[in-house]
Amino acid sequence: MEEKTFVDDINRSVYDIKNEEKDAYRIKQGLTPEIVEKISEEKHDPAWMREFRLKSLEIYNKMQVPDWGPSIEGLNMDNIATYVRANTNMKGDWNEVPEEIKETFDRLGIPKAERESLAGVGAQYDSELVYHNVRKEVADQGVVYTDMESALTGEYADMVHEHFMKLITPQDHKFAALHGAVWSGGSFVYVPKGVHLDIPLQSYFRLNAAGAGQFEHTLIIVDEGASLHFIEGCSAPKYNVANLHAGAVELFVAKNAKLRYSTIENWSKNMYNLNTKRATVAEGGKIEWVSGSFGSHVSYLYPMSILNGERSSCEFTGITFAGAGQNLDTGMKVVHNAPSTTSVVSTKSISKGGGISTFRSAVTMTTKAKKSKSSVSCQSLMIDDISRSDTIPAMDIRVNDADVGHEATIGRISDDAVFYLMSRGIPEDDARAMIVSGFADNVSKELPLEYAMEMNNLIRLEMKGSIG
Amino acid sequence: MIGIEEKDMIINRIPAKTWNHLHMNQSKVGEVVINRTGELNASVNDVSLIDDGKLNNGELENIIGGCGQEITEAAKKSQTEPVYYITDKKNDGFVRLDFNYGKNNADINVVGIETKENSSIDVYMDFNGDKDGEGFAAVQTRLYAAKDSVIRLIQIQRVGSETTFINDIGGYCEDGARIELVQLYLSGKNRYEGCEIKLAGDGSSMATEIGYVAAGEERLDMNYCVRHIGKKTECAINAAGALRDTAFKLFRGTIDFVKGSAGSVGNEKEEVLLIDERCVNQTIPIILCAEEDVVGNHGATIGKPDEELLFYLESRGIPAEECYNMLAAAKLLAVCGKIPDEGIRNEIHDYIKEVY
Repeated sequence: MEEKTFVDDINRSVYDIKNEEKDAYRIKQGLTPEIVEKISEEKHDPAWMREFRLKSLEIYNKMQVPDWGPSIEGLNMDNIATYVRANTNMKGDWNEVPEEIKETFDRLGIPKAERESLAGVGAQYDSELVYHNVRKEVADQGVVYTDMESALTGEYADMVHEHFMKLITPQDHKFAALHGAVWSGGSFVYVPKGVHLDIPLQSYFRLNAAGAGQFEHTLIIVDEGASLHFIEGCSAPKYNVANLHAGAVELFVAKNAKLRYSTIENWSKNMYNLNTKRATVAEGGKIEWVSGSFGSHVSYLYPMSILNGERSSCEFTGITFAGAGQNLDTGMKVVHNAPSTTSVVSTKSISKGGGISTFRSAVTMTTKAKKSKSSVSCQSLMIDDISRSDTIPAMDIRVNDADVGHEATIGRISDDAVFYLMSRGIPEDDARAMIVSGFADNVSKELPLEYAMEMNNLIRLEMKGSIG
Repeated sequence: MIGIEEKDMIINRIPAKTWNHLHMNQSKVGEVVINRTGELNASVNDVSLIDDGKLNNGELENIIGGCGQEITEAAKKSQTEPVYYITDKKNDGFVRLDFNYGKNNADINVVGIETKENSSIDVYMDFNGDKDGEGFAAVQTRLYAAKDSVIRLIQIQRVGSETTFINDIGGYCEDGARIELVQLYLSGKNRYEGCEIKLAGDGSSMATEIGYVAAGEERLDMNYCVRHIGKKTECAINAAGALRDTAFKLFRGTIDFVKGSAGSVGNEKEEVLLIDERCVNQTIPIILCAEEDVVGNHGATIGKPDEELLFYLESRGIPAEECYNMLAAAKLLAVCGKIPDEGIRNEIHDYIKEVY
């Protein structure tokens, strides 16, 4: 009801610096069996993987695009190069990484974070990893952290074969099938029985090439009684053509193991982010998702937890910030498939500048989920009256001995709170940014300090564009 | 009257789709068979009605209900003659419509209710019939509340145990108008309830209280949608019920804040008691929001009867089965208490006590 002033978003300079694609190998655009075979050849796949890719392509061609989410009409696979490889192989020392690429990751703070607070880092640039390293003391505990390509043929080849795309199958949906056909890059992690990693591992995915796709595959197995915190970061510079991200994350959490999977997603606003993440949790195990979605033009992102073991549990904490030109369809799925399982979901979404944010969820309790509990809380904040915020939560309960609670609220920034802060001498846009930061507090406090700061900076960056 | 036979009619579509594998986006009615206008006894008790045939210059026919366009088209195609109840007075009495279904049904009725400016009306619809009645029955009700008027619609559904029943409501509110619904869904093999209310006028409002029990192999499939279009509009959707045996229930509830509906408030709440092990509950409460200055809330609580309460009741010598019946009846009686007319309230209260 009040007059609004609106200005454009400011430049996201750190993320938007692009490198020239010189001396890189780029596969021709489109999606054909020949292209898939060529990718397989370039990557020196084992025979089973080549067949798997071709079978996935067949499935992809038979499946329809979703009829329930944001439009992906602007995405034409004929214009997407599904494999781009920088002119370097994977290094274990930042000094050996080509200067321009190293500078990119320096700007993003990855080597610094590695030195200060990480147990290992994988850095992917377009379709392949350019850097991968794990601290010696971590490797000495038997922790395996390597790129997927090495894992496919190395010591853990059988384990990878046993788990690869078994949790997310090509039949799941069209873009899971696409991933199966053209995947490249990503990380394999194995944490042996009883090993607790006190500091996180991180993979960072940077898509530099215009009109390209990134299809990394992350496979993590946390064995019995072990624990791990894994951080995933991603960004890309903005181009005038569509880019595509259709990664897959498969997480296997064994008996009494614990995995925290944190993501700060900051793709550029020409990106179609059609990502799939899924975890299966055994008896007494726990999966924790911490998810911040800030970038992309269109997102479909619903990390799924399958609680297959008795007393297994899931916590999901997420925030989505949809600004101008963004249609972010995010949320979660949980399947309670064993007795005494629990899930706790807390999400926040913010829409501004004409952005569209949709929270979509599904809580399913099968007949096996006796004495299970689920609690879902979803809060949405509308910053202006040109944006949209929708909430579409579904619950399917097939057991009577269960407790399911759901609550959702939608509203605006309180004028009283803004007035209070302004009366204390804080400018209006800063006051609004402070209130939004407070709204996002439950997510940022779940992140390591430096990532919480990055998230708060992103919020500040986004909020600078709007004067309430 | 023209006979209609349609297979696999799609109804109860939600305004914003979700994953198809959840099977909540819409429902399919296996067989729609219509060959007569349903038997309807109307009694008018201290209500002043206008007898001018068409409602709101024919606008009423253009209001779509929660069940969707397909059932409206079927009703039109059958050429069922609508009955209208129009008033321009504030009425203390009520209109009671008793729908009497038999053993083999293939019935449809279309009812229009309109309140002119500053008027009000209470209408009771009792969908009743042969206890073992089978076949198909449908009722379409269209509501038009002009400026500052009030329509109160009370529906009691107790159709035969083998009957497929479609109850389709569509409503429209002008400035300051209000629609109130009290709905008790007590029996019927396959029950499809659709309701869409457009709060078009500034300051208009709607409230609905829904009570239900589904038992045996019954299916109860609901689709409620309130469109907030005018400024400072309000809605409250409250549903409470119990599921027994292998019954299936799907509740879809949508609060849609259309751009321009500044100052509006929408609240939705559902409580479901899952009494037996194999019942199935699906719930999808949706908020769609294209307006900043609104407040929308929804909450759902789904679970089994409270163990301490059961222990207390059983320690007083009440058998477990009777405790479950009491808890199911309690959900219905709470909604029954909202029926305005004391005589009808007592009648339904006694019926619930007798059945449960």
